[in-house]
Amino acid sequence: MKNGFCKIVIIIWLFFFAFYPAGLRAAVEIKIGSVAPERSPWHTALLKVARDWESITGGEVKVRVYPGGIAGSELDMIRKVRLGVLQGAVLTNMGMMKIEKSALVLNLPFLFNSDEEFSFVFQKLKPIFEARVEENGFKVVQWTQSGWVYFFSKGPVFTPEDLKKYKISITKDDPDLEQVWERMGYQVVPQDTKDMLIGLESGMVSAVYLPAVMAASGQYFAIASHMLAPKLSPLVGGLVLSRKIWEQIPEKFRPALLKAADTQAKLLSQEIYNLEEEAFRAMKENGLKINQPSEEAMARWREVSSRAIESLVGRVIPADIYQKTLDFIREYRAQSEK
Amino acid sequence: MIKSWQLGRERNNLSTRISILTIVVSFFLTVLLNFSCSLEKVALKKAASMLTSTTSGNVFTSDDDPELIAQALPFAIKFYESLLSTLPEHRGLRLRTGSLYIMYANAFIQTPAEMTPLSEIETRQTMLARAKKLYLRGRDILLVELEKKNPELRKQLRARQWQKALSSFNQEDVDFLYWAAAGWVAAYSIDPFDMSIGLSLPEAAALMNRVLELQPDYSEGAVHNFYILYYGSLPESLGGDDSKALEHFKKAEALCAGSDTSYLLSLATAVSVKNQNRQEFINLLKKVLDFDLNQAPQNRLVNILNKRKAAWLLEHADDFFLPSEEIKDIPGSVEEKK
Repeated sequence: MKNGFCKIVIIIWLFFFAFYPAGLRAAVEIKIGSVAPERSPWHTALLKVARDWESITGGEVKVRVYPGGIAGSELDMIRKVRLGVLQGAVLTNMGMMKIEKSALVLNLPFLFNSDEEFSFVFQKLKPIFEARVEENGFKVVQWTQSGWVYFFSKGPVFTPEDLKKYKISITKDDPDLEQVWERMGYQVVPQDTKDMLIGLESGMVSAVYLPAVMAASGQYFAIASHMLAPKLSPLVGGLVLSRKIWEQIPEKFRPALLKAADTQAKLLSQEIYNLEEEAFRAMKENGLKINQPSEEAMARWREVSSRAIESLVGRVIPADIYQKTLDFIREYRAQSEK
Repeated sequence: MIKSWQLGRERNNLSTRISILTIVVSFFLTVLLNFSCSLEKVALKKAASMLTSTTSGNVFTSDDDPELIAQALPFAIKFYESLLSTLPEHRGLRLRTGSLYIMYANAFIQTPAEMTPLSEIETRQTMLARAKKLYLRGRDILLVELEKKNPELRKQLRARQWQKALSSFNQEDVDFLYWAAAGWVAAYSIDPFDMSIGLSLPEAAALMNRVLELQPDYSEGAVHNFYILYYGSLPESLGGDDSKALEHFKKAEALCAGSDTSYLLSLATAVSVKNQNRQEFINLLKKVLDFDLNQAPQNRLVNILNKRKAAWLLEHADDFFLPSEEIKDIPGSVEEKK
């Protein structure tokens, strides 16, 4: 009698699982942190990814977005993903570097000459980065290119020697970078991004490197009103999830989720491109001076930067990745010359 | 021939008489029209003054049916605006029209937009864009009045000549200064990457600073409520400062604790969320829900709307707060529990 009851219970449970509607099944909940401000294009794009993922999976994947740095800095978010408080984070290449050092090649100054060149090289490097990021317990689900980083300073800078007059704000928590700057004879002040404007106002720093959109929206250019015209490095970012949560998502959904994230990334990149144009227009109208170095000065910039890069290769930047990057650049330039 | 001459003369006489008659009639018509025009203007002025009196405003703010007001306001605003086009010098009408645009955009477009589900993100974006447009429309209507007193206002504000731009304004201009600044900053909050609004943010802040100088207890602490949101929401690099937000919270509390719950919502959404202080968030929102509406019948509408928003925020608290690290700091706990 007792056994019979157990069987009934088991049968009922089996039926329950077989016919339990997908919508009522426990969803995979993914909490994603981002330092991008609420209602910024990055935040809106992320919300659209969240919406698309919920829709593709019929509610089996539920995404919550925590914008504006409420989940902490990029470093905090990486730690929280590792702890399981967050399951994903939107990172810039500075954050990506904390997961996988080789991402530093994307930050190297004056390495890429144009959007097209960068795009060509990046497409080739992406699978390598993704594999390495995965080895570190993360899954890259989206890459975005959010414009370029430029030098802004309180006075005119045309040559590498001009920059030596200024105190440069650099990212905190990166002793390797700090060392390289110092070895080249520059004065640097490691700071949190949030302290940069206050640093400029107080005189603690007198030069910063920033994406143009941020220089305009954060009004940095009002104090550091000179910009070096050549692009320093591309601003690449990405959405990473913990590999553990990614693997909990039913496999059948994964390709569609990646495709949806990529579609939003492409739309976002276009939006940021337009925003960058708008930022330049607004900054120029409000007194930004753009300083174009001579060919000779530009050659000096490349020389100084390649010396700095060489000191990092092998020690900070994996030599194989750097070599591959240079090979892809050469390949692109050779193709362009034809 | 004679006949034709006579006929011609008679025709001439007739045409002369007609001309004289036309002049006389025109003269009388003009007098009559002018008289009726000035009569109409007198009547319109009378009506406008009646419509913009405090009592008429209370008809909206003391109502207990937000849906009724949401439907009635667009017509009322357009009615005020059409009256304003006839009486552009009427200060009360201009203030009512401009401020109603801003109030309507806030209460009936932006707030519902924020509560729109993620699945309807495009609708949310459209509503927010509309709110921004109406905020700026309201602001511009109000700035016209301020520019009558200082025609160089916008130019001086752009040049950051605060003293020069604002010293001519006094007590009688406080309403205009307040609402213009509120609409300006609200538009920025919706689209922080609109470069033209972002770069003019200090101008909006300067208008509100003038209100604070002239009348710190303006509208039962409304100016302090503004500063809770202003200092609480802005990034530190742009002047955000939690201690200042809290200072204004205390001042608002002293001025409006018994009549308006907005300051509680402001601290909860701007500061508690940012600092991930869930308990403070809950306590503040519970106070909004517990508020007795009969305590301040003149603010019934805003307090009802605040209660609705507080209930929604409490229901969606998990969208704003991360779980505490202590709980999640157990390897694999988050994902494995799913």
